[in-house]
Amino acid sequence: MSHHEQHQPHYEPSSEEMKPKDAVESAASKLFDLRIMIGGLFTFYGVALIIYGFFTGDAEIAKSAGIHINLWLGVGMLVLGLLFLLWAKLAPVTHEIPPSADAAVSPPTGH
Amino acid sequence: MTQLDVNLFDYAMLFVYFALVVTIGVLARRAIANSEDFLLSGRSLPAWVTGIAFISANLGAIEILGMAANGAQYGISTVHFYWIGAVPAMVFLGLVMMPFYYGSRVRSVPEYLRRRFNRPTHLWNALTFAAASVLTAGVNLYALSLVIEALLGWPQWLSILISAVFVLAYITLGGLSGAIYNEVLQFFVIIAGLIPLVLIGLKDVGGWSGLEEKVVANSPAGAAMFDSWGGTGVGSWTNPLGDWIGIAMGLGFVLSFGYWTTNFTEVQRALSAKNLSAAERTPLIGAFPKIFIPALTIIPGLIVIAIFPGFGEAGSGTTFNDAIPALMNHYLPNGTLGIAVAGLLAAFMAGMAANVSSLNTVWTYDIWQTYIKKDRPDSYYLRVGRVVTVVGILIGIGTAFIASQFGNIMNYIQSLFSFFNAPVFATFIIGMFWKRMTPWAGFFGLVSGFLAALAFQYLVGPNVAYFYSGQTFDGELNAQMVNFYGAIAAFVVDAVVTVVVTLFTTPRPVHELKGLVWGVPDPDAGDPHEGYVRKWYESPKLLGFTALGIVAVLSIIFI
Repeated sequence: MSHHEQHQPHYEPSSEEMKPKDAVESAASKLFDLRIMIGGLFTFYGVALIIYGFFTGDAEIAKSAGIHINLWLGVGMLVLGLLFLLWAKLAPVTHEIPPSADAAVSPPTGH
Repeated sequence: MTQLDVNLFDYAMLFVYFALVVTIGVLARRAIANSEDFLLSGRSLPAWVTGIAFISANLGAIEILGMAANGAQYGISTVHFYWIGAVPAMVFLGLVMMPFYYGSRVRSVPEYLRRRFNRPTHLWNALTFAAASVLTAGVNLYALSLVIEALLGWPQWLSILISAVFVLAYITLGGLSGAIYNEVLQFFVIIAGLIPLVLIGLKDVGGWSGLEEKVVANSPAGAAMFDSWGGTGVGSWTNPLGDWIGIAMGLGFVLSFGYWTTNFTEVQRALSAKNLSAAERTPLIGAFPKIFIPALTIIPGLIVIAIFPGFGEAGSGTTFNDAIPALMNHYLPNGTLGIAVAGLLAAFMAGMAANVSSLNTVWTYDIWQTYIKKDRPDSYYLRVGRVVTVVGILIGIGTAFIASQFGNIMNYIQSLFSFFNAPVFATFIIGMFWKRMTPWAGFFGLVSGFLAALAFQYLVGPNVAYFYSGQTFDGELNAQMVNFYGAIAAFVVDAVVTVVVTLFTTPRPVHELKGLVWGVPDPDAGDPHEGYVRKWYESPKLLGFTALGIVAVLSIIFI
């Protein structure tokens, strides 16, 4: 590796060097588990569609080529929703780095 | 487009969805303490989330409606946009390029260019990307308002305002995490909305064979609708996408690799992953749904042609872009209809949110912090990120009207990408593998490639008889083919200029290129996989080559 002086002006700082020194520590470990959201929404949609499916008339079923789509889509969404909830329960999120006290969302005071 | 018969139950489904969208933004707010949390999700997300977001950022409603339109107009040839035009590039990004992006800890694609080349190259790329982002966000917004007006009867200004407010809420609060989480949620909802269309439609037309029979009888293209490579002979093409050189090199190589491997909206999803392994797997995990999405977009396009003879043709009162809404109206009962409408609206918002969330990162880090206000505390840049989000959305609203100038939305987007993205890939691929390439070669390569794309689109393409159907000026100009060849021209001009300029200018010393160029490792970077034991199914090579294998098999089946 050469260390010629004339190369200095070309030097571009890396992103690590561009970071301000007083950077607040990341709070990313506080991010919630998305699987519970997806699981919750699909379970809700599934149950709602199945219930609504019982009130779907024959004319509506004929419209969708004889497929009782509200019922079937409801069952499909319910199963997917429960699978997401099960996955979230069986493999909960673990954070490799323990959140430090600094990471709390106290609004950083400006300088 | 006919107005949908939406009832109270459908609106309740919609309401629940929109409430959840905002909730995600509010909850993600707690995970933001510094600018990198806001702009890059604190590099903390698991691979399955970033992988689905990677594909979902591209699965906006314009993509869905546009690909269904292509399916209705061009038939099975549309799979080229997925199997040739996306999957190989995604695998290349994961296996070859991601170690440079993630390993060098850059925060954006322009930042890679700044460290590999120089500031002019960086500024050029950052500004063109910012311009493309607000344009695309505007296109999404305009398309959204058209569809909502047609389907639900809301006035255009109201739907523009409401969707802009929702996107604004969840990105200014939740940042990239808010955007990515909503993209993943949207992915599952839009899939749930499209599957019923395909199932019901196929049953109605008598399965695949019934579909083929009816489409061939109804479409002006006839049997060519089911022939993906037919008529692609060079010199006498009849395929709606042109000849095989344009498809394989223009779409499959230049446009596809340019978009998927250097467009920051996509790469950002991988940069937000929690480690290099997850970043490498991001595009590879995304490749698997991408392989099968054509079944949910092209098949509805074909079904429309099968059940409505003359659909989309002049004088029918419909356009090809109406394919999916027309099927929703024809087949879906209330209930399922609510889910499908939620998915469609979510897809519009996600398309816009993806552009805004990458725009604010590039603007904050690459333009504001690099050129305008340096050395401020991090909290300052966090605020800048939030302000840029608001400004970006406001400009997006302003640019929405540009989209109204173009008939087929997909062609418009593609032509944008051919200007901005086509030359970028030449610069990246040469810069990553040839350490002699000089900073000024980076700059002049990009600029000349951009000018070449522009010149080809407006000066060369329309004046060459070969690009008109029948190869005479009497035929119709093939816009796709001009795009594909324009991209090839941009790539070649960029590459030639890059090599020539490199020979006459000074390269950067090798020690400044550590971790940025192939064959120049960064000894200080440490082992990115340290402390992480990879499971067998997490191997990038295994995932990447499996995806390519599936594409190869499907391509042979549908040849």
